[in-house]
Amino acid sequence: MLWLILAVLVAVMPQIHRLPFWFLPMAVLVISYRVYAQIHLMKKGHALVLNLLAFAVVVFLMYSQGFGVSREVSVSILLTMTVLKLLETYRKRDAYLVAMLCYFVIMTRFLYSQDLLLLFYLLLSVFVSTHALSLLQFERNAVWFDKKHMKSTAGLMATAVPFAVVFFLFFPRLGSPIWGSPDIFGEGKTGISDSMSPGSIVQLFMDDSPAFRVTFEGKVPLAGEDLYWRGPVLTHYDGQTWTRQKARVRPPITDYDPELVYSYQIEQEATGQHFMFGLDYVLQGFTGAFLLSDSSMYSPTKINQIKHYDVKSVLLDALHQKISATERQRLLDFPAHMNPASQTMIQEWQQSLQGAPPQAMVNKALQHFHQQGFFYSYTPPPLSGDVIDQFLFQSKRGFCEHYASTFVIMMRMAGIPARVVTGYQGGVDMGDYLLVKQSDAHAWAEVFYESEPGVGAWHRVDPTSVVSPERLATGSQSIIEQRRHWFDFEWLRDMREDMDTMRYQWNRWVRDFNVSKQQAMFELMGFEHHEGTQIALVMASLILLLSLLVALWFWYRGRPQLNPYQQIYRQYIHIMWPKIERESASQRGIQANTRLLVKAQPQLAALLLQFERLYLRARFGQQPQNQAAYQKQLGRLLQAIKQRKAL
Amino acid sequence: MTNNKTPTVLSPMIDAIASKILDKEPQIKLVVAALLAGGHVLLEDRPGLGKTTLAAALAQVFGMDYTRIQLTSDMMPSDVLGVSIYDAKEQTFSYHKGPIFTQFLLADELNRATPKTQSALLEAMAENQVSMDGKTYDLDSVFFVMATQNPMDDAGTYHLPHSQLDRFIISLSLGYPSQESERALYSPAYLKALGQPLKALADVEQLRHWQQQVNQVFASDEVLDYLQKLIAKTRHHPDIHHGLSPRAGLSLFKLAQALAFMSGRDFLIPEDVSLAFYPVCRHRLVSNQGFDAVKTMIHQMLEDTPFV
Repeated sequence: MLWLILAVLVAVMPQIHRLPFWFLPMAVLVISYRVYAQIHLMKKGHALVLNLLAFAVVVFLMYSQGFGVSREVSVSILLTMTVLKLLETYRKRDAYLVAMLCYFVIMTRFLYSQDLLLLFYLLLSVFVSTHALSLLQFERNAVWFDKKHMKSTAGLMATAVPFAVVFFLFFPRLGSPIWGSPDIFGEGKTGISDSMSPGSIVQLFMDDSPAFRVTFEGKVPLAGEDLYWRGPVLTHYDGQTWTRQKARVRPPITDYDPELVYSYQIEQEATGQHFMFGLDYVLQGFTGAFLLSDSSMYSPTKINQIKHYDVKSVLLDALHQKISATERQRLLDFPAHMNPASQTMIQEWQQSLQGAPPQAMVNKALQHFHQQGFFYSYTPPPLSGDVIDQFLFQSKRGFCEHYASTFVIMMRMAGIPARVVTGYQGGVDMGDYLLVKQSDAHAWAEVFYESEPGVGAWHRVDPTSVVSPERLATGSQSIIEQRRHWFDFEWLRDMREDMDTMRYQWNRWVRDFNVSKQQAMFELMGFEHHEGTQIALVMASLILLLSLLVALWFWYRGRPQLNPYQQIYRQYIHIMWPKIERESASQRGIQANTRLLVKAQPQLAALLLQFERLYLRARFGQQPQNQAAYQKQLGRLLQAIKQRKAL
Repeated sequence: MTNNKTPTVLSPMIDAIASKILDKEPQIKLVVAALLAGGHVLLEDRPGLGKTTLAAALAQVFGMDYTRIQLTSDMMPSDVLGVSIYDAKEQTFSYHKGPIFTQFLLADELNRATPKTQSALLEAMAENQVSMDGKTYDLDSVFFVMATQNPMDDAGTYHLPHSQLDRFIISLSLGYPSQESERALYSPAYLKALGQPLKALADVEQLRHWQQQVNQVFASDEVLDYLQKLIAKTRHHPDIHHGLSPRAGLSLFKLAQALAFMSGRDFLIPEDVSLAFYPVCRHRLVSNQGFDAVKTMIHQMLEDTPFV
């Protein structure tokens, strides 16, 4: 019973945060009452009380979650009722039911996420439930912890594995997961969003969870400085926050050097957003992704599950583009009434650089960052009001967000169209693939060098690189000297990275096995589309075969184990008796056999009696030491008998 | 078992007894085994089948003091245990030992005695001592009771309760002899031999020594497993009221030890156990289907528990 309670506890645990606030105290109360009742052998509560309680809980649920058939409500009802069921679980029948409910509860957790770590936890949970279920078989499970029982439970679960595999491979799949309704996304991290306000990126620095994984085709992954994964491009600034603006679709790049093209597949974790990521500059849009005029990729649907896509990029320093007058105006816009000191400084620079190309202004600004004592810090003082002024003249500390934002505004003040690009920079080479983590989030700038207004090329400028070149070469973590939070350790980071390799494989082989891959598998096996009956037949026969194998295995495990003397005795029977009599002869003791044999074959009497004596002494006598010698001697005697018999 | 003529220390005695009780060698062996195991024997037979002859032969061969009491319904416990009599000269009570103070006691027709007398005798058997007037008198260290009992259905008998039956290590019945051996009974040579007492082939000292050796017969785990399996079978049998008690289990073990010793071995083999199983169970297991059913049940249990 205690195991059952534990099973419920373990099963409910990972969903508690999603349930209404009163669930936790209720569960604690119910479970502690039930444990107390179990220990003190209390009787079941009055049925009326229990019914009223259940009713009240349903009312509570409706109150806090609304009425309707949604996933949330159904899961909540299942969970609360499972916990409440404990109150009336005093008989075996109810206990079985609770254990079954636990499996359902465990399964519902998958509706929200299918992460690898979670899988391990849920497997543990399944183990606890199975153990509770199997302990119900024993009349009085007074033993709280028994290694043997544990082992048998583990065995039960191991037996289930092949069946699970068969069902996984063959059970018909739906085109989209049942729970893949578009309004819900998993527990994936939001990651980079379509706006950037002070501190938004630094939050991501704290987060080592994966953003996406990249598998390069053919060519080797590039050096850190080339790995700019472009995400949302932000053009509008209100003095605090950068936001994205609507963009049209960009035509593909037509004129490029094929040497510089990289093809790769991205496996992007669920974000609940539309953005997709690619190296600068993505060649062209593809099905399932628009390539916008700001060169970022946009998915028509929210990315609520893992998404795979193939991208082709050309590594270009500059992207030639025409921009319209309104567009250009937008790219030059900045809050004119703010940051007067910066405006003054830029004006001074403009005067000193009269007539020089815009590159000179870019260099001037970068030099300014380089020489005026700016440094990289992920814990800058909070800024407010004239943020740019404060950053440029007072704090001089910040991270990519500050530098990119300030630089773009400076450029705009100087009349150069510029924009902020957010995304990720770098990645960890995991051998098979490149792992890009949330902590690799980055922001940089792009400036538009014009030959005439509206015609020119976008150039990437990363002001952070001037301040902190290491940031680009080795990733964000190398420049973080202190621990980012109390839970941040080097080994933990390493472990998480190792873990990601497993997670990658998990995604690749399990989560990603969708209807089309299943179809492909069936075709590989020689089934045409929709040959449902045949597939069902194959599945049924596989299940049958597996059951047979499992049964055989159990039989093999349970077969009588012969000790060496029993084996010798069997040999003896085998030698002495013809086949039909062996069965009955092996039921007899050796003395009875010898008597019969001596009567039938008197010429063997001496040997047989010698064998009998030796056998009895060896097997039942008091000589534990020289067993092997005895066995050998018995073997020799048997051979002698055999030879003698053949004569 | 009988054909196995490997001579052992005890075969001379067995042969000597067998010359008086013809064709009953297995039974003789069992009785000797019971003696070596330090237990008591219950013989269940109709009159005239050689119970007394067997008892006398056994006592003679092993050189034991032999006393025979015929139990009747008017017998008092004091007739068995002895009595304290007031000695006028000494002005004290002095204890006069009863017939129980012997080494070999043949208690004939035990179930004709009243329960009071029966239990007095059986308690003395179990404790190997007699308590009288607040004093205890030890019996001889070699004390062997062979009780005979008329078949249950005879008139004028008091059935032994099961608690008392459990005190006998084995029970057996001699049964009628075979035709051949019955014919031999009438031969003059046999009749002559019957009249003469057997020569003592051993003494009590020797017997005591053997009894100690029997206790040291080794039992391997395999054999003990088998023994326990058999005992468990009796306890789980659907048609048997009560299985063997632990005391009965111990009896089984001891008797098997004695049988092993008699075969000249210092270790047990499963055959010893299976051989001992029937006589040990015979009077202990009760079924509502009657005695004959019990008999087949015991054999069935043995068959269902093969040892290989």
